[in-house]
Amino acid sequence: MNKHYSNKYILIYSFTLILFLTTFLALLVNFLKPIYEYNKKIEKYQNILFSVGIRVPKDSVEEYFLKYVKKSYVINYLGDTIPDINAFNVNVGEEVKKDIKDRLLPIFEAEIDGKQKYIIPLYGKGLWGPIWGYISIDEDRNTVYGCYFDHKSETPGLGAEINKQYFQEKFIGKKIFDFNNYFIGIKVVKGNIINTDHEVDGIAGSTMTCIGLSQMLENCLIAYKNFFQKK
Amino acid sequence: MKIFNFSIRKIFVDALNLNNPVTIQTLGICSALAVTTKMKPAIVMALSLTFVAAFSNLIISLLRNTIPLRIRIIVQLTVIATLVILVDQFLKAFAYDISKQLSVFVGLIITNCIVMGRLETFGMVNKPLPSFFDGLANGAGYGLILIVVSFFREFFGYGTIIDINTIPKSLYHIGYLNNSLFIIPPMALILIGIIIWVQKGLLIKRKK
Repeated sequence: MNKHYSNKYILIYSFTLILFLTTFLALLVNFLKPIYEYNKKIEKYQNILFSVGIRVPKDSVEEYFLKYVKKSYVINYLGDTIPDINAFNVNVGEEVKKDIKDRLLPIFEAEIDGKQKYIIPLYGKGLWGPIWGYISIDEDRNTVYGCYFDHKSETPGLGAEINKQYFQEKFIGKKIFDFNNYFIGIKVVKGNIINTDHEVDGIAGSTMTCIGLSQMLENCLIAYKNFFQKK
Repeated sequence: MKIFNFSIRKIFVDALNLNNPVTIQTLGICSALAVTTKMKPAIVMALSLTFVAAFSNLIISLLRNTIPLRIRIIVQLTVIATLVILVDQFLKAFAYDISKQLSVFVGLIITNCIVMGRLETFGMVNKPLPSFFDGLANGAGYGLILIVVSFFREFFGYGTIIDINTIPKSLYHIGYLNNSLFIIPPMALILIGIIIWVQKGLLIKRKK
């Protein structure tokens, strides 16, 4: 057992081993990457559909997505379209960290029952990790039509409830502008709701996640202010 | 060489009961806490670890006479890491939802003490076939605990078993509530503690 190996042997041994294993892995990853990318794309499609209230199983997601989501484009904070950028390739997690004026803002347009819905991606911080989602705004460019949130590691039973349907349905019908077309946004609050148009009842025991959710909504929606004000 | 003559039955009895990696050796507790909130990810995790343990044990055992002792840990880790990436990529491609639930824990199999421990104590000194079975058996021993823990956590925490509702709706109407305590990590430790208590109690009783 206790053979003594020379340094040369050790070097050659480790080099060959690593070379062999890395080549193998590189080939494998290359081979499986298209399937993985496809899964990711389908998940994105599914989340976007969730935000307009369409809940379909994974295998029919693509069909429904192509049926309902007609257009996607990227705008700047003034509301002007930036050409030649695919809305699917924008990394929202990076964009929300930038100054509003420098952000690329993707919009997905869905058409449901002949009416236009604007779907906006969201990204922010929860209590333990990132939270994200999509929110859809009705044709009047003010009323929330639906939304979808998900999280990476919020507390089960408390903050993690934000990805449940019953909570997301509370956002339907809320408004982002007041009567004077002034941006108010939507807040998740504890206890009594005073302003029914702009406040949503939070989840008991998940104050921190709800604060994160409010901040995410504020931070992401305000960037689209100019776009939605153009009516 | 008589000492290398292991019976496969003994390997399994050891790993599942007398020398269970989780309850007796208390290894691999970290992932046992994290992936046991539901049975499905727990089962997938158990299978992944079993696969990695069995094949890394086999490969290391095949290479055992060529591995320079000075770099043996590095060689072991490279082999484990390769297998783990293999499992991770396959899960991402073919079981995307589960791979998201398991998140970093598949990657963390690389540092799972059970795998490393088996390679050091068994794969490095034994023939390939017993090593392979030793990996299988220890994966199963780990998986068994994971499945038992996740069963209780999912049943009391979500009211389901493998995502199928088992607690009747009428019970919820009377006022039954899912116990969120079962979903948070401390409950996994408490459950593992109870399992260790019961198992050791039985073992002591049998010795007498």
